[in-house]
Parts: sequence; structure tokens; C-alpha cells
Amino acid sequence: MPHELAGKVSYIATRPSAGARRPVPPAGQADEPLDDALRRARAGDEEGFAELWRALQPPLLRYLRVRSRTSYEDVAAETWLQVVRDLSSFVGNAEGFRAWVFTVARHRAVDAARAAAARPSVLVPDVDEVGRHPAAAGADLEALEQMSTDRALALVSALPREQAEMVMLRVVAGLDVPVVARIVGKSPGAVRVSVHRGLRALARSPQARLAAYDSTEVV
Amino acid sequence: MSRFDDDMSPFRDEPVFRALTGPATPDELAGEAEARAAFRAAGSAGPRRRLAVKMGASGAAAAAVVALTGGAAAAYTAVLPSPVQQTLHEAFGPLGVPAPQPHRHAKPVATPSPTPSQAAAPTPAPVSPAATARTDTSPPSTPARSASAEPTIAVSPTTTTTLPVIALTPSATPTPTTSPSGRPPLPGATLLITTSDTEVDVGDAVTISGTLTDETGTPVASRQIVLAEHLVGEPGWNRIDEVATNDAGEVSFTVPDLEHNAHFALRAGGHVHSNVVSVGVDPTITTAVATPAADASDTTVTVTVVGAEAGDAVTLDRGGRHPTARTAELTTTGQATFTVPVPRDHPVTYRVLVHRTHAHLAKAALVEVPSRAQPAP
Repeated sequence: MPHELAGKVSYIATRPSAGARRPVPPAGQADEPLDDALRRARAGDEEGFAELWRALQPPLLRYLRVRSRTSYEDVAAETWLQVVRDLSSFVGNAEGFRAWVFTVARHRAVDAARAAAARPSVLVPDVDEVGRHPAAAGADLEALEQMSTDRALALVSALPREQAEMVMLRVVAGLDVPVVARIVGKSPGAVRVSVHRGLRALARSPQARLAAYDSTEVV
Repeated sequence: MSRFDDDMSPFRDEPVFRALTGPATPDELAGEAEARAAFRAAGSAGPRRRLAVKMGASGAAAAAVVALTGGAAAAYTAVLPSPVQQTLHEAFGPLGVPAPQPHRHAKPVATPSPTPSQAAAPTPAPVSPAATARTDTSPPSTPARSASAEPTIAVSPTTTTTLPVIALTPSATPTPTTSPSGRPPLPGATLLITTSDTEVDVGDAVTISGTLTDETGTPVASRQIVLAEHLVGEPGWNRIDEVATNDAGEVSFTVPDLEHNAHFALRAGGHVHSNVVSVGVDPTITTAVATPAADASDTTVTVTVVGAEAGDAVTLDRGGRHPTARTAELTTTGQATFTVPVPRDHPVTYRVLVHRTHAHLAKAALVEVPSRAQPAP
């Protein structure tokens, strides 16, 4: 249940930040303004909520594409439905909210996987968008950007499963090591080492060098 | 922020790292309208309302829907029962979450086919003034069937809104349209669903059967059962047909001419729902290899796919260690053409793969390109 976590994360989330040496955050991860958005959303302001959603939905989808693969959009929707339902009982700041959202997402992903596994006789068509967006579709910048993200997510997915999840929570969700550790049930040291190794492996992989390019048209 | 503390810094300029944390794409932000609508709905319903309600007696039903659907809009609407979708639709106006629409491609046998024009026309069923506002959300009822099946049950266009209703309308303005229909509740009843196939070729039919039993396991006869269909990747559930159970508590629906991956569920009213079963559609593939000119080094393989849409991806590859995978999009005529070298000595077998989409499953076929030494028969 989200409430227990909400209480726990807040003390981490509110500790003094390391601040000054931080570089420009990647898009989709700007956060402190989110404290204000969170306050407004909790007061019922839709614009505040939309701000939170726009900031967290992209990393959430990326995380779920690695964690939940086939049904990531649905798990994301389930996550937000639970978030809007329980928002009024959430306690904490934007950092804590981010951790809470990803914790909810992980629970929903586990549920979805369990439901799928418990119903082996039911066909589960994989409805990801691969067929809808063949690489040859467009050469505009947007498509290239999309592809490089897709490719990067595919590379992360090729890591050992737990490591892939930790990399996504740490890098894409932007969660602190202790928060990631609690979400995945490992020690902070284990998370730090595993994420570091995962990123090193990614950086070394030959495909990673091609990540920024569209090289699908191999003949 | 410790989020970007030093253990990340060696990696920040790596292409992978930058791609992972790159700016949001339009696709990723596509669902904002639905998320906003959900936020509004939750706000008006109060914090304790469960928005992601279980779709019936079994939580597995909702979970199955969640596991099986896609698309941003569908992702939100698929987990919501129709009344909630209706609320979202009304809350958002004509541009947001589409309301459930009449069935589009498959008509059950033994049911007068409602045409789109009929669907748009006023329905002959008696409706209350309050219900008139949503007649466009349901296919016209079939008077002959409903009359012969169980005269005491009023089959009105509101039958699709008899799910366990979590009224999301503001409590200050209750709407009578979400009140229970004429169906008495069936506490403890079980509605089983089975499908004749979980995978069919495009254009084939599938039979969906159901059995309704009460809390003691006794079959319930003469109860109207609605078959609802959800097309994968499309928003909402569509009511397809409605028949009464026989003396053994059984119903059977034949859905012909499947063209789209779909989920099916049965509803008995009175808060009784079946699980969800899913049926995937296999496209069919035919291939043709052009006879090359005498001295040509290349020839063409033409792939024709039935049951896929223009723009769907088709890949041609040789498998093994030959890095020859090429992907093309289907044209509006359902064709894709690949240029391949004419083999010198031995025929070469290629694999054709039609990638899966919301609408259909993946399908593969083999095509052999004859060598110059062994021309095509």
C-alpha cells in the first residue's frame, strides 16, 4: 500500500540536497518546481496535477517498458488511476511523490505479470508498437530521437532483469540510491554497484555506440 | 540533488545515458487528456472512491484487460467500466475519451445487423428522457430477440451501463441514468466464459459461450446475457449482442469475420460479469518471386498480406548468420516488395515476418528464391 511508503520516503526526500554541483537535469526530470505542482494537485488543482503528470509520465513509461514490457501503457494508466485516487492521503514532497509513483508502478507491474502468469490459457498478444513504427517510417528529428530512446531501452532490457530495473529507477526515474534500494528490496551498496556495472556494460557495448543513429536498414 | 551525484557523472555523456534521459516524445505525452479526466473524476468522487474498479466479481477480469490492451487512451478506458468512460467522455466533451461505440466490424449471427445509419437514428426502444442523452452510445437493441427472450426485462440502450456503477458524477447532481436497470441482483452468481479459439485466421469466426449459475451452483435460466467486445488498442467496450440463457444456464454467441484482436466478456446485469477471454487474429501471407531477367543479379519478392493495415511492418530475413533483415511497410493494397539477389547455385529461403500490431498477431511465412541454376518451375 502506498501509504506506508509515503510516510517512509519523506524523511529521505526532505534531507538537505547536494545541490550545487548538479548539472542541468535531463528533460522530464526537472523537479523542485514540482513541489509547488504537488501542493496544487493535492489541493485539487488540475493544472498542478497535469504538471506532475507531464514530468513523470515519460520516465514512468520508459521504466515500465523495461519492467513490464508488453503492457507498459496499461500499467502506467493503472498507476495514475491509483495515484489520483490516493493523492489526498499522500504525505511528502516532490521527491517523495516521485518515489511513491514508481513504487505504485512497480506494484502494478507485478500484479500485471502475476495476472498474466495465472492465466496461461489466455492468449496475451504483445501489443507494443513495433509494427506501428517501423524504423523506415520517418527521418525527421523526432523519429530519430524516438528511435534512439527505443534502442537505449532495448539495450537496458538486455541486461539482467534486476539490474535493468535498478538502472531504470536510478537513471530514468531519477531516484536516490536508498529509495531504489527500498523499492527493489536490496541494500544501497548492492544497488550502487549493480547500477554502476550496468551502466558500464551499456557504455561498452558496441551497439551503444550506434545508439544515436538509425541503423535499422541493414542489408 | 543526490539524484545526479557523482556516481552517475562518468556516464552522463554516454549516448545510452542521454537517450534514456532524453526529452519526452509526443507519444509519451499523448495520454494527458485521459489522465486529467481521471484526476477530475477522482476529485469529484472523493478520495475514497475506487476509480480502477474491478470489472465484476473477479479481479482477474480487470487484470486481464490491463495486461492485454494498449494505446494511451485505451489504457485508461480499458480499466474503466462503461459508466465511468461515459463520465469521462461527458467530462471531456467530444475530443477526449471516446464513448463506447456501436460495434464496427463483426455482427453476431441471428441478429439484425445494425447499420451505422440505424445506429445514428433514434432507437425504437422506449427510453426515459434521461436516457435519451446517451442513446448514441449503444447499438440499437434488437426488439425481436429481447421480446422473445424475456418480456419482463426492459431492453433499453442503457443496458450497457449496468456495470457495478461507481457514480463519478458530482454528488450534488445525481443523474438518474446510472441507476440500476430492471435486472434483479444475483448475489453469489457465477458467469463462466469460454471461447472456441484463442487464435483465428483473419475472417474466421469464433464462438463465445457462457454458463450462469447461482450461489448454489444451480443454472440460472432465462437471464439476459450481454456479450461485450473490446478491440485491442481501441477505447472502450462495445455491446455486441444479448441473448437469454437456456434451461442449462448456457448462452452461445458466434462472432463471425474477426479482423481485429479482441477481448470478450459476458455481463448478466446485477453486478455479475465473466472473466475476459481474448482472441488474436492471424493475418494471412502470400508471396511471389519474380522471374529474373537472364543476366539480372536481383529479383523481387512480393509479399501480400490480408488482415493487416497499410503501414504495418513486414520484415524479410534469411535467419542464421546472414545479416539481411530488411523492413518495409505495407502499401494500401497490403503489399510489400523486397529486392533480393538471385542466388547462384542453391535456392535461398527467406523468412517473411508480419509484425504484430494492436489489430493482429505476428505471422511468419517462408519464401524460397530459386537459384539461377534451378529456375522456378
